[in-house]
Amino acid sequence: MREQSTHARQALELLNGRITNELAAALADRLQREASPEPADKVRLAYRLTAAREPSQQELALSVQFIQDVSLQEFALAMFNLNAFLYVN
Amino acid sequence: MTNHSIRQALRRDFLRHSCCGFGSLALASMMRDQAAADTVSQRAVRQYRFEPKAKSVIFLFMAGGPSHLETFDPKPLLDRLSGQPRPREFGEAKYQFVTGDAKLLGTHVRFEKSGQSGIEVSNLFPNVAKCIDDIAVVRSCYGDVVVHSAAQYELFSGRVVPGFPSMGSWVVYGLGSESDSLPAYVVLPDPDGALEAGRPMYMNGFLPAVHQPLMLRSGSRPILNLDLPKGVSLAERSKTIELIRQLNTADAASTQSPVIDDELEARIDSYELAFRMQSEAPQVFDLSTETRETLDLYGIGKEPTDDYGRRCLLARRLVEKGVRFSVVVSGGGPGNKQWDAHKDIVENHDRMASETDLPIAGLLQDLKRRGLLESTLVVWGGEFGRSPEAQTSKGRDHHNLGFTMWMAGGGIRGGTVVGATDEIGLRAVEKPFHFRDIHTTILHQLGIHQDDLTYPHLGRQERLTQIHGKVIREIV
Repeated sequence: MREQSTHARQALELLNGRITNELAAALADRLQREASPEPADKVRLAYRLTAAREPSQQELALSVQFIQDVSLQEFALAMFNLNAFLYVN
Repeated sequence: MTNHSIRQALRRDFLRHSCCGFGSLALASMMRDQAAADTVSQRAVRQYRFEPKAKSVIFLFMAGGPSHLETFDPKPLLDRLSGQPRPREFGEAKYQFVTGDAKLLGTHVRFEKSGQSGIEVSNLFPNVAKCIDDIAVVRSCYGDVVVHSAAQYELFSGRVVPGFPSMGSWVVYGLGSESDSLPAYVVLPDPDGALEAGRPMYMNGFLPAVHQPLMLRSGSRPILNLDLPKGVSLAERSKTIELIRQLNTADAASTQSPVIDDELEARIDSYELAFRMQSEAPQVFDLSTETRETLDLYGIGKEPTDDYGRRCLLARRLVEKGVRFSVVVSGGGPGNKQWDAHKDIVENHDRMASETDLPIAGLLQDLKRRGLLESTLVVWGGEFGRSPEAQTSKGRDHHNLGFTMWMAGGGIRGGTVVGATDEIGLRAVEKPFHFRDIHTTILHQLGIHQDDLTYPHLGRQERLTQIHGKVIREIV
């Protein structure tokens, strides 16, 4: 039987842990450098890097709105918490 | 439709709405609230067949097999026959290590009549003895196996193999949680390490992944990563978690599968729970808000009771926050750091009892004076007892044919004894009760009939009880 770890602790690690936050900072930095100033471009690059696909219209809209409301850093953190990043189908 | 598939259908509907014109705040927040409500109030049991007495369960798990002979089952004949071979009239028994030519081993303890009920309790538990009038002692427990892991699986899940849901998972599957900011089922392991059955004995088996326990870390930081990193506010992080939920849900909806994998669903839900835990959990773990008198009651700040005392106090605080099922484990790592006294029963049980006696009594008294004992079912015991025969002169081997568990609170009739082993404590001979009967009784106190708590698995409607169990009528 596959051993499963407990979800709440994993979520806490992925949200507040040192490693994911350092990775998020690095990703935000890369998005600044490699994508155009357009938030939509940053989102597309982020999805290509983490989910290995283009974002849907809906995902793009949600993400662009979020970057404007909150920050690129927190958006980058969200990318590392995508099921598409964390799991292989 | 089972409740499980009803929940999936609700979620599918919400996802369909979300695909067309998501973006309205109202819909987003409604979906979040609905999703939260699904998680929090989801319960498989919609109607109680019995009047529920207990709302929560605390299982005081004495891992490794505490000897009934040194604790709650006095056997004067055993003491008189110490050093002699087991008389043939008591029949045969199968052991891991003890061989056919072993000699009976008397005890070093004294049993005292305690409380108003006059029930005999060993002098290893002077403090628990004072609480005996709240306790129902079951002296005729038995299980099917003498190997730790298999017996631990049977104790927790009713089967001798891993992969089946533990009683904690069944209970939270059935009743959901009273708290939306703490997981409904928590295990507080012993710092000395893991047990033979490992984590699978605590786990959800084939029940949806959301019913797995939160395993706390031992020591001063039961959960890590409760603090936000620098530079992020709670309000901002709340929005981030909302984004994660929206993106993961949108992604899941876009796959062609009609039903979301319950594992993914649990993970999507876990972020909200994690966020709420950040505010709630630090308070729960902060024991400095307790009075000195309470800390002393549990033996906190003193050896050897500090660790188990902290975890018992934590269990009370978890119950106050609505946690449905807690397991406070005594014993971990190597056998002698559990109750697994193969080599020296005196040294081992003197030590293990001295670590747990005061904290357990403290827990019972503290629950009682806060008016919580009536609604909190406390269960004490392990995966088996120990052999009346000596193992290598001073130890006792595993023993499944007759041993003791006890219950208190949650509507249990205190000051009672039910069942008995034979005169040397070898076999449960009067009103024997299997683990399934303990499980049936726990469910009964929670208001649940064993047949009303089922889940389809491999073509069978599975229950906690593989074979029907009976309620221990004498103690409820």
